[in-house]
Amino acid sequence: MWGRRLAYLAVLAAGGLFFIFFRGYLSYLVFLFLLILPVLSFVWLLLSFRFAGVRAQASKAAVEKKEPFSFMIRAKSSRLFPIPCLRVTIEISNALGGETERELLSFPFFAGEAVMEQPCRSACCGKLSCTVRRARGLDFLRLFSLPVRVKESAAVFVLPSRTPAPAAVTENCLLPDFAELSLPTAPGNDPSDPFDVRSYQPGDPLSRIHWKLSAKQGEWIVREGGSSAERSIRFLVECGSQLLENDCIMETFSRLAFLLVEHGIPAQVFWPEDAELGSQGFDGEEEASEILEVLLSRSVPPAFPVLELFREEHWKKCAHLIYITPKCSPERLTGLLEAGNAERVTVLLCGTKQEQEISHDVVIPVRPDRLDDCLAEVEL
Amino acid sequence: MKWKKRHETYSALFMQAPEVRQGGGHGWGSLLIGCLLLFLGLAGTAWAFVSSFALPAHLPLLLALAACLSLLLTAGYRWRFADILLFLLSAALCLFLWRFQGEIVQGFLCTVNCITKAYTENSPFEFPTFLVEEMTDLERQRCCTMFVGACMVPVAGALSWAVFRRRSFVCAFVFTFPFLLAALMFTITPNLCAMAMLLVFWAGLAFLPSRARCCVGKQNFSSGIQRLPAASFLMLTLMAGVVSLLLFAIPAEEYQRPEQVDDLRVSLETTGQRLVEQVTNSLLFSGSRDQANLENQTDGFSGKTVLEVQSSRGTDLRLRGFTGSVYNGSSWSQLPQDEYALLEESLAGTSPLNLSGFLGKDLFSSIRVSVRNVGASREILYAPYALATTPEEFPEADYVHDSFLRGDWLTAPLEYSMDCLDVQSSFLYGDRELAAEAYLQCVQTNDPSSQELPFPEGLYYLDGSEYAREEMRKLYCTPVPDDLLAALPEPLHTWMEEETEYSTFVYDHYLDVPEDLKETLLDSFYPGAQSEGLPFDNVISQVELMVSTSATYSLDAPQTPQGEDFIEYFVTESHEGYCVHFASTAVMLLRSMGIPARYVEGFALSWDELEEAGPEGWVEVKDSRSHAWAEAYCPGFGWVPVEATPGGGTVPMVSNETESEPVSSEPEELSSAPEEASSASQPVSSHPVQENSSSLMSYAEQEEEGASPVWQVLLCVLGVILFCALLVLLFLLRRSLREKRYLRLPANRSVALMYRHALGAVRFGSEMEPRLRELAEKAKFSRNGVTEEERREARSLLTQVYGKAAQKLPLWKRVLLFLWKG
Repeated sequence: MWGRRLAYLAVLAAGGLFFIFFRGYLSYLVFLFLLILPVLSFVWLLLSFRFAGVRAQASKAAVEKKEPFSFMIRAKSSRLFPIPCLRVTIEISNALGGETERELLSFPFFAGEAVMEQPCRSACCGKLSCTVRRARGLDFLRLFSLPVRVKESAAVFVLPSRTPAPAAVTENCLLPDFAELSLPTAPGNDPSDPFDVRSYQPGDPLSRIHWKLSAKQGEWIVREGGSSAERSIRFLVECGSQLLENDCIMETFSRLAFLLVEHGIPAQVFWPEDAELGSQGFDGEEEASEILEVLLSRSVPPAFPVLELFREEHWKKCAHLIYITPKCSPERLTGLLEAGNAERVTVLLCGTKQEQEISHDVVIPVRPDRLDDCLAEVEL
Repeated sequence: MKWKKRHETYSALFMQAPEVRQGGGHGWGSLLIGCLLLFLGLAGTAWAFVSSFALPAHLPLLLALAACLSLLLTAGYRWRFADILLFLLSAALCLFLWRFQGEIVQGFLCTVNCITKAYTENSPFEFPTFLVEEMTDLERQRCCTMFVGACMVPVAGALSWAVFRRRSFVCAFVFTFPFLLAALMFTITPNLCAMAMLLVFWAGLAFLPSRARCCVGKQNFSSGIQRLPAASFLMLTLMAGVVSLLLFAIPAEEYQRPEQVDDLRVSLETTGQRLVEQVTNSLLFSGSRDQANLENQTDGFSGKTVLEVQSSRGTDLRLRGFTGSVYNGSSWSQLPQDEYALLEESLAGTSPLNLSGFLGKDLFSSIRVSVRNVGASREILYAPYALATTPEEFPEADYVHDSFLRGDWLTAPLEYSMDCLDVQSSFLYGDRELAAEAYLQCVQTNDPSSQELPFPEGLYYLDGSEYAREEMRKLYCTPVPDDLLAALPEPLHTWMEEETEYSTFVYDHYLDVPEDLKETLLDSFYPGAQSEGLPFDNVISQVELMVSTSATYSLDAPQTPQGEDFIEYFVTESHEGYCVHFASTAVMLLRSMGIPARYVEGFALSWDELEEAGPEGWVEVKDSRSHAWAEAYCPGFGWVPVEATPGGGTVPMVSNETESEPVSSEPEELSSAPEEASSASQPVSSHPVQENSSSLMSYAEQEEEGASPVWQVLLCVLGVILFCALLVLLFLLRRSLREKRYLRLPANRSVALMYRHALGAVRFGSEMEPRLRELAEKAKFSRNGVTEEERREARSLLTQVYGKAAQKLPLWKRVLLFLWKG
């Protein structure tokens, strides 16, 4: 804009010199016209900017990695006094990796609605948000600008692969006590029955409906997860600061989670959330997807002792603790193994550089380029 | 468009160039606005041009032509046959020019004559006109209309490209403003309605944006030309309304320019002049300005030859340039123009510069002086004393009152010849009546050397007393007695009358001296009263001697301190100076004594240089030979040079041997400064002559033969080759631009364009590649669009389509395809 202002000043100076040195009426007319033009332009801008608005939209809610999608920037303008120029600054950022891309879009003179589509694709998973940072209406000569209201932001989830991991799933994945707690007299006498059942409530996912019991009871009965502490498998997901690492972590978790879903094995997930740990259980695809979306939306947390926090608050007997992390020191691992109460512990080091790997039975390095091979070593 | 990827850190986000999916306005609305803008631009330009120079063209017809061209070209751009339309228009124009070449030529000549007439009326210059065939007004109008109409076609083509393809204000301004500039240069105002149309046209293009843009990091992307919404009409209407309001609110007839603006203009001009003077020191002696600043250093000489002079007789020759009449303490300037109004009336058309020429070639022999300007300023035409060539004989020169001859920097001749009279100094009586008697005697005896009248004594008193001044006034202002006047034949009779008028003018205007300076000069040079008077020539000699011996010649004269008078400082304190100092002092001293004098700059050539060169030889004059001297007015004779610089050669003034002081022909101090680039003006006679060797070829006169037929044929062939080469270059450029466009645009748009381009070949009989159609459909309709690989594939398929077309088509269709589609 400053360039345009300087150019206009130069033109005005030329007009002024023309007025001074050319004695005719023409020079007066031209000089006055040059003085009035910005006024006319500004008045038009004043009449038009109030009716302008900008919002962002996404073409899809969720996509897979490398699948094309687009963000649509929709600008609105009055038909009678369209805004001469709309300059929009948008920011597209990935919550998982922290990368950000800024763009400056310029909509020319238009009436009604104008849409500018930004095609994108992401090689890594995460939650990509398109935020309109700034929208300004400019006059015809680009001398003046006024703010234009901004309405919405848009987001797209780039999901990791849902292909179940080629990990081995054994019958011992359940706690003995859990199996003992199965009620022989429960309807259906299903050894895999959960701890408790209850009546269906609106909002319960369909995957929780105990169909046998429901058929027998004549009403919908849902399986109750029971307390999170009694889940047999627990995931502790800790993200890093690098996008590649986090992508590998998400990919690993996703594939393991959907493996469990495939086998109908419930699990619980813990993740760092501000100064404490968040947690949610899943035993169906929908719940797993929800957890995945939550994990993808988490920004990189500040460094605090996730493992220690987990041990203090949530360390209860479980069959298998799967710790997915980008880094783990030998001391932490030793502490984890000595003080832990899990039947089994598996540490998946995702995206770690080779020189930082720890050699231990429970530690499995997971490389993004050999994900299948690495996950095949996992035994659930 | 390539996928963008950052290189500094790993980034998983890949983004293509954004695309505008919808927005803008209606296609027809955009076209109508474009058509309207094109009409405004084309009609406004034509109308402005015709009205500026009062061309006898049929304006309504031209406006109708502008409307037709606008509509045609709009249709061409709408239905994508603009290229072929322009080609057809060009062909039609060529046919039209060929068929009506006679009328077009006459129209061109009439137009040029109208333009030169307008220029002549609005400037102090004369412009040549062309002879046209005799024709009636109607025929003239027809010819002019045809010519202007023919000119409008290429302008329309250029403007349509600027409006529809680029929608660029800069391009449109470049194509239209020169027609306006041609008039404005000479303060000619075009029709105001036409100007209003042009203003709305330019403002409309400046206001209406053309493309959507995106900036990502350092990369910029832009879309194609966007359609305009219907509100653009409202905007154009508002602009037209504003212009109309201005025209009606303050009509031209009632417009009065504020005085403050004029004052501002004068002060800006003065400031500009001062800045130019400070920058261009070397212009001090070339007399190319209306003012000579005496404070400038004279170290701007390069030693280059600025003039070549030829004289038919080997006599001392002084070529006069700038003449200064008004002294302001640090510079000389000319008399204000309005001072000459009465004089010019009384002289009834005779230039004061020619008054000596009236003495007649019967009395005095004529010398032919030729000057060739090889490096001097073209604004001064250096002329000798006693110029006999009249303004009618030398139309290229502007005879600036009684000062000098001015040329135009653009049109001044580089070589010119003038006649001057070899006026005998024996006629410097200093008394008009005596001079008239002497002339009469010469006429009666037909022998200029036969006059035997004695020189008067005691006419001129040097002390500046009141008595002296009164006597001087009588000498200058008293006319010749009527009986003597009646006895003089023509043209001497007229000359005497006019000389008296001019002498009175000179006496009234060339005696101004600041009082302080006058006292200083008289005290310095005439401390006591002078009881005796002297003849005129003796006065001149004495002044020359006194001034030249009063100080030392030096090129490194000290700068006059700020606030002090230039001459006073030289006379009372520094006593060092060069020709400028001595000349200025001599002028002021003469004026103090009551003798009208003025300051002159130019070049002085000695008789020996010219004699050695011979009547056919040329003398080279270098810029370091620039010189300044004084000139005093002798009543009954005219201006005579006064050489007050030590060592400066003077025109020999042999008069009364008993009373006259010997002419100081020996230099008091020879300048020892080498004749290098840093030297200022050197005394003429002590200066080694730059001999003009016979190897210097004078310009051969151009033989007025037409070029031989062989040359004509060669020129034609060359012209054709150049034209073909230009065409090829244009096509190659077009192809290159198209390729760049394919790469620059987003992939989907690029593939769509390629498909459209391929359709052009299909129209010529080629077959469309199915895969290309598939890609185009994918680009247009699929959600994901095409990838980079598919874009490259589409490009190669396009080449294949045209390749097949080229193989199948006959030669003439192939050429047409190449011309049309590249």
